[in-house]
Amino acid sequence: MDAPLAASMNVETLGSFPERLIEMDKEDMHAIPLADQAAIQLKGARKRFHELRARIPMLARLAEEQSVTEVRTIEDLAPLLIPHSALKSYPMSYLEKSQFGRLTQWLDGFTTHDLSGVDANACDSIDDWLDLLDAKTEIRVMHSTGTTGKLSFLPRGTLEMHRMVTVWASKFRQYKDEIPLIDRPIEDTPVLYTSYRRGAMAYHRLLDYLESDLYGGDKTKVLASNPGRLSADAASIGGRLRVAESRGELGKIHISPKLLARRDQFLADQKNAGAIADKFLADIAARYRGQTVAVIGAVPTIHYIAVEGLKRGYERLFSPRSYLQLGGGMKGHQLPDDWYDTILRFFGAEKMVEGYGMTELLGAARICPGGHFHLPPWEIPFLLDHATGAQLPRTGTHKGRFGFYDLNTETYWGGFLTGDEVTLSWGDDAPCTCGRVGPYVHRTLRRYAESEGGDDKITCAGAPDAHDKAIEFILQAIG
Amino acid sequence: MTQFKAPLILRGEVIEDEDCEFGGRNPQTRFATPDVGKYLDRLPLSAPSALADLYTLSFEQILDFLEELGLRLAFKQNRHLQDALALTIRTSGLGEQILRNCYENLGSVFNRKQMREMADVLIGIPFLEGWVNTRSDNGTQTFVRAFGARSVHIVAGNVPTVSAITILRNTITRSDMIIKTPSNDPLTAGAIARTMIDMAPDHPITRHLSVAYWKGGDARIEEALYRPSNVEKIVAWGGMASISHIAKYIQPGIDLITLDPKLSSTIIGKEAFESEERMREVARRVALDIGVYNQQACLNARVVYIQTGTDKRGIDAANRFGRLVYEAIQALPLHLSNPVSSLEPQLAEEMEGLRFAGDAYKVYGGDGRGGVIVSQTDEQVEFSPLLANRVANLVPVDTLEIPIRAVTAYTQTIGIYPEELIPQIRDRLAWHGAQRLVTLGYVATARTIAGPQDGIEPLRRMCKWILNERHDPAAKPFWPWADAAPAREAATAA
Repeated sequence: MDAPLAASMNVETLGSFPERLIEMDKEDMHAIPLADQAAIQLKGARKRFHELRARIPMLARLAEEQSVTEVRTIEDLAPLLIPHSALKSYPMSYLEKSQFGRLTQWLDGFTTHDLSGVDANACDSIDDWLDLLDAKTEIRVMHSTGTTGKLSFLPRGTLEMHRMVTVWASKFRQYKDEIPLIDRPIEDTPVLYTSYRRGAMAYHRLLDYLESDLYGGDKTKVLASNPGRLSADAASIGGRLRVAESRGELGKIHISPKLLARRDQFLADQKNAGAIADKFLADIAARYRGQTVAVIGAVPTIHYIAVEGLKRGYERLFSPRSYLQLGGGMKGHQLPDDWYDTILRFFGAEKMVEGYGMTELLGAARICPGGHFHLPPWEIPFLLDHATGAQLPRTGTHKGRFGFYDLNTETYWGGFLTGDEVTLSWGDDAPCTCGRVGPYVHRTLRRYAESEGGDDKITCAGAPDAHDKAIEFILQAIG
Repeated sequence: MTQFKAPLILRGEVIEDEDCEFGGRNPQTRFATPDVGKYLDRLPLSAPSALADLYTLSFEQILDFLEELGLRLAFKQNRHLQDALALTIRTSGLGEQILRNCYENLGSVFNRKQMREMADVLIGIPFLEGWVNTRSDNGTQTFVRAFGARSVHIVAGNVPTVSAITILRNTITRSDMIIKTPSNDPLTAGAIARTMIDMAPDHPITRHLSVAYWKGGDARIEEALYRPSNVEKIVAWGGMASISHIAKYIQPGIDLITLDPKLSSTIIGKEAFESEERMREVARRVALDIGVYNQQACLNARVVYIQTGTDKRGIDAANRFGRLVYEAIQALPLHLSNPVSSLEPQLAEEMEGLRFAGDAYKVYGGDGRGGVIVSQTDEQVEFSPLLANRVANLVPVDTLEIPIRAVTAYTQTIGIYPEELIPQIRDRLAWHGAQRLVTLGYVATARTIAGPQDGIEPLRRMCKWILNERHDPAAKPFWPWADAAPAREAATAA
């Protein structure tokens, strides 16, 4: 029934060069028969393991611990998935005491790039360290926000950064007769981002590469609401403050002199927030009013821009066919009940497009007309029993802890174990109505770490919460 | 699918409407309750003078009542407690045997000798029974009496004993009480109240106890209830989570007593490592402090500082000690502590990550059976507040300055070894914030209820302390006007 693969993209070739899957036409990619997908994935994974094992110390250690010497079946990969918490497994004192030499050494364990020649001992802030790695190496570290102040660091290479752009662009291509996400070529569509333009979180890195790879360096195609930089140090100190406050140790937080020296910038940013928003809004209105745009950002920042825009009289600023991607989770923020309508009213997009992804993946899956998140063939899913870690059968539909192996990675190990509880259909006995062949994730996903046993649970053990006051604290600390 | 009922107990009346459903994601932890909003007019004790009936009882009569209550809380005969156990088995982090043990011992909270001791040490029985002449000086006499108040208790649900102690404390002070139960234990307080109703439905003590569940923060209920005209004292367990709901209602006339969430630690001096035999004994004591009640309570040890030193020899000793502690945890009897099927999800994720930390930590165990993380430097893991399910962090140190300085206002109990160390460091620990210093191995098993809690004396604070002064004008003349004072005039005339 399924059409065979095009001659140039046969199972053999794709298995040997799985990174070429992302170049495939969307219809072809989602039509690969299940058996062929499995064959490509096994061959590709074997190749990656074979090539990377000796070059990534953490993988070597994990393989040894788990006694895996060879990937014979896809199941053999499961014990080699790196839990997402591994990306923040360095001791916190590395950040607190600015031991960036040791942090580099730790990071070296996760990448094929040799970091031993990088002398980070002189760095006295995380931003400094990230700049040094950008300048001296081929890795573009992506960090998280880290609620405890400990940031996760993923050492993505420039190689994968370019692939990330290909994956990003491919999601806008049409699939069969479905209405595409936008009504113009993505190469001509400006991207609006509702936060700092610079920084080292996944979006900032993506924007850099979109600008160079997709837009040929045209800076007007990537507009951010703040031209400044999101400081990794500020993000970390915010979390450390929360922890310190909860332990009653506020006075003990150490802030590097360099960060203190940036107080003028922080102060100016705080004072100019209104003016910066003015400029951004005027800019995007002048350039792109009525046009189709792609908007990305976290829910609270998108909401903030929408509120500011509506205040200034902008309403339904862009084409209804604009693309709206809200990151960072739909829950957990304290926004008014009408936050979603406010966002639509300002931007003019008809709806937001739900997605499921994470920094560790090159791209997020978008929801299909059948209401599912389809995994592309380069993403090998794993489903584990949450309590025992045992693999669940790779057939039918099951609920469990989600893991994946991303075949696009060649400079770091692409196998990760998330903290997400996911219902996954393997696509064999219940294909999705949209016609895509292969496994898909249902919308009912959640984090295991979310509270269990009701949200009004009171115990006598624990530490009180506090709020993010990083910048205020820095400003206070320097009087 | 089990569906529990958490009735509203309203001053001796059991209301079993099923208007709302609450509880966890797991359907087996869900419970139905009446809408407390419908009964708001009856929930608070609107006339303060209605406390008077409690003053027809002598202290001994109160003890009589509580003592009998204690007998009727015998688990095997008490259906209400059995129901409560059936739910808490699913919502609590404690295993069935521990919970059963807690419920079976619930009655012993009302031990007459202990109750008397608690009242006498923490308040002074004469102050509860009448006006005590506290001072007589040259014609002036002062009298003080401890009165009950109209109180709301927002109780914690991690250990069922909290509900029993709350009821005991409140009754001793002759207060009116409304218990707001938590979603992780909505039944225990009600079970005790229903036992009272079965025993003496019209007794004043029964009539001054209400038990309700509403979702913490429900403004419809809290706005109406938390007013000085309804409530004088709020006793809240649970820190920010529960306090943030209440804070906005605090105003003159409402006294808020907080029993914040706390964490506890251990300090072990170098003497413990002088011989292998001693190490083994100390390891077993630490295991008790870590493992009793499955480390669900505020008093359980989480971070354990060990003065082994941090040179190679010291770290080796720390690692050996870590193994011994882990083995001792595994050997704890099941009525005190039990393994669980899996760690709390957040902690489990942190533990997984530790494998990738290089040589910074050594881990023994680390699954549902518990675990010991031995830091290979003198730094604790930064996720130490998440430590639970019998997972502890041993931190080797060269000097005791490190653990002493690590103490903060959120440190409740510190188990200490050897005993001689306690007097040497206890003042400094207190200045830093520690609230309870205990012989190693005894943090949970020998806890006295006749002592302060978390650095405050909740029982004294639950009372209204009323002062009566009498002045004899003859002995203490005070007459600011120009004309002569009547008393003196009378005296002169005579």
